[in-house]
Amino acid sequence: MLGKTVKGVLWWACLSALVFCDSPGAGVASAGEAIFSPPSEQSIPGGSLGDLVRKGEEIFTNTKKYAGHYVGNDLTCESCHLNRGRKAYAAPLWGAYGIYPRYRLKNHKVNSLAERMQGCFRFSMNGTAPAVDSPTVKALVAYSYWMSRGAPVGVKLPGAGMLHLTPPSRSPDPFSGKKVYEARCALCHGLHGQGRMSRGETAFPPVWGGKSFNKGAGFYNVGKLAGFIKMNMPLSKGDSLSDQDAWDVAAYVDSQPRPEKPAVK
Amino acid sequence: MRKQTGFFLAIVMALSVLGYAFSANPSEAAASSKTFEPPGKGDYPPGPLGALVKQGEEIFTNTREAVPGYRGNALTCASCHLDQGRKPYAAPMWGAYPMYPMVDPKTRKTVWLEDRIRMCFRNALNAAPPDKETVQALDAYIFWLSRGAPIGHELKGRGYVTIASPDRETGFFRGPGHLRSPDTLKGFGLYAKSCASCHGRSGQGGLHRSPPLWGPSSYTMKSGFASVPLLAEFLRRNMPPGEDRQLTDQESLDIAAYVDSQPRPRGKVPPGN
Amino acid sequence: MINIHQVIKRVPEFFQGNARTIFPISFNAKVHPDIFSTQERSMRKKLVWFSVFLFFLGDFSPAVSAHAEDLFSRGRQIAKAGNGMPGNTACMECHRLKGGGMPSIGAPRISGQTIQYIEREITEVQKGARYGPVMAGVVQNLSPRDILAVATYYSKVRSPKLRDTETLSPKRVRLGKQIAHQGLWKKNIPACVVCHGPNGYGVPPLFPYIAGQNRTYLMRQLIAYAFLERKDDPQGLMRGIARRLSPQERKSVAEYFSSLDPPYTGSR
Repeated sequence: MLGKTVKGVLWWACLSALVFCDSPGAGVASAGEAIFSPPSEQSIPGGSLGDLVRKGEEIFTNTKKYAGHYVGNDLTCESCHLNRGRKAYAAPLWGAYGIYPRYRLKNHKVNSLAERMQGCFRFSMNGTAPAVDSPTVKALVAYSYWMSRGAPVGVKLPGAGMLHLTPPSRSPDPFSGKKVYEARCALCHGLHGQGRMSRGETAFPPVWGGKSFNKGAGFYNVGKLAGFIKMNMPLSKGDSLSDQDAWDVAAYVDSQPRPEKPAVK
Repeated sequence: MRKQTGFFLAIVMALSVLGYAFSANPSEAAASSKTFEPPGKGDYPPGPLGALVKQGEEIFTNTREAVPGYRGNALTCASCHLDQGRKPYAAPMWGAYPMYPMVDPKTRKTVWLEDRIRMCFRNALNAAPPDKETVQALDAYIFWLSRGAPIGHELKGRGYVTIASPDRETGFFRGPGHLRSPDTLKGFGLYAKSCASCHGRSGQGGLHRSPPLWGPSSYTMKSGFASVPLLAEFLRRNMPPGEDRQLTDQESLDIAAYVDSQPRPRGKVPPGN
Repeated sequence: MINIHQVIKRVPEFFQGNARTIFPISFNAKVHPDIFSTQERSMRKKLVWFSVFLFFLGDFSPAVSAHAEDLFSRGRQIAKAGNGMPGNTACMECHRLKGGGMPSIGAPRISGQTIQYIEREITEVQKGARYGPVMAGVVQNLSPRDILAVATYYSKVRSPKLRDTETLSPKRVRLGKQIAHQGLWKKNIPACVVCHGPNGYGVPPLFPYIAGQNRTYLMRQLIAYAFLERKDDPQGLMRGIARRLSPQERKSVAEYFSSLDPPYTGSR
């Protein structure tokens, strides 16, 4: 009798071990949602490459100070690429390095990562593009290379880019967007989209007006902005707005005045 | 009954062990058993990127014809990077792309893939610096061959096989085995026997599209293969091609020493020096 | 004319460098500043020059300054002796006359916080949304004007940093620094400095500075957000974050910010 009980227990133990053993792998494979985790800051190597990577990070987080020549507004790279370019669904750098060179409909060319970054400077930063072999771009590319350590080349990872939000049932409405904006966004970004300053430094980025991104930026696309808002805003409470609210807010923000798109080169 | 339960137990245990083995990281498992597999030949990405990759492949295998205004030697990229840059231990492209940018151990400077391509054009192909489009196309081709390779990781089969680690700085060969200093005379004998049938007695190349190994239309004294140990490492695993019998470490060194003792272009001085 | 009261409220914000937040609202809240009509623009210009003029007078114009001084001295009086209503003890009993707080009992440093912030917090305590067992009794009989007076007073006085009672652990300070500047994104916690301003110096008007705040107070607030009845944070942002922090992490963050120098020190 006792032996039987022991055996039963063993049996179940083995079965549960099997299930337990298998489940993480299976979950990862089926959901495909294992988010890549980039290396920690401490693992930046020494030497010239490490210096370049660190410089890239400085430019990334404090763009005006370290690459002010190319910046025409109050944003930094980190304004959109949250957590120093690490946050999934906020166009993380680790999701970008591996998929360039890539053909883009935007300019009908195969773009290298460096050329893509030039686009960021021209449109999102409303500034001028540094040359592809300028120290600024090299440092930023090196930073994304280092952050992508272990990510596969040429494969789009889960969490790369922005969330592709399915179009809403009701067409995005800037007027309801305004209400949501005033309730959920204005605290930080201001009633007039002006962002907020702290002792002369930009603390919250302006989301429209002369100091925000221009009409050539990716965020001027309502769908992209809605995907970003849905996953990331309000900061630390991502995924708390409904899809429709995210679309409406994005439509409202993009309906506000902002600098024109610079003429195509 | 008892026996049956025991049997069942054994099966369950075996299954769980198997399950564990399969749930382990597939890339690690692959690294331990075989080398990386690049996308197959003719497997191109869709759209304009595919066109660029194709163009890159054309430049890679047919440098003289594909690069407009090319005035280099008779080699192509694929002369050294065998099988169109796919062959493991022949400096495959998929082993290189994930490692750039890297720090050059000699100069301690950061080297980018584009720099490396230009260096190849200057030193190995003895050609003028390639234009932007050429570099872009090659970059795209190399990128494509590396699809799925983990960024920043050294893959098995990258670079060359290591033979008894001779000291590249001093040129002394004090391997742990029976390696002695390379002997050009022995190298000459081996060359005549194993290599000359394709590369010619005077290293002129030509047969079976084999590249010239010395003389005015071969690589320069500034290229990587002008270093005896490096050339030996290449030979050890890759020459003669397609034959069962491979060279030994010592034979590779001897042949490399012979080939590198022959006359060749001095090479261009890199800009900025 | 313009509501002087409002101008006073907004002047500090203006001098912190964001003119747009003040003036557009005064005229037409729906129109973006960049697309004002010429008339409005010239009016706006006049107002800017007017405030610059006020600035150079040394203080504000007689009428405005009389009002501000009035509030300030009223605030000072309440801070010193209370407003005479039941329950209202002097603020200085715990916050000191210069607003340096009292680290030993966890009374926060409040000198230099914005008027809007202090006003809001007192109101929230009155309403019961902000957990404050001690403060609730003290402020229950403050009138809105008294609150504004106290807020005006404490936003203007300056105090040096007061010494914290406990010694800090360097290990925790290091961890706290990392959380403060890089966040803990695995738990969806952004860096503290994103909202509390570079170095934790605050983002006017409503995000308080936390640099140089005392350890006990910071700890208590994080715990109040996490488990107790502090519910005055907009959209529950702080509640969510405080709940996701582990006890060790809460302690570390509190120690790190208490180790910093506060903004707005000096004498007045």
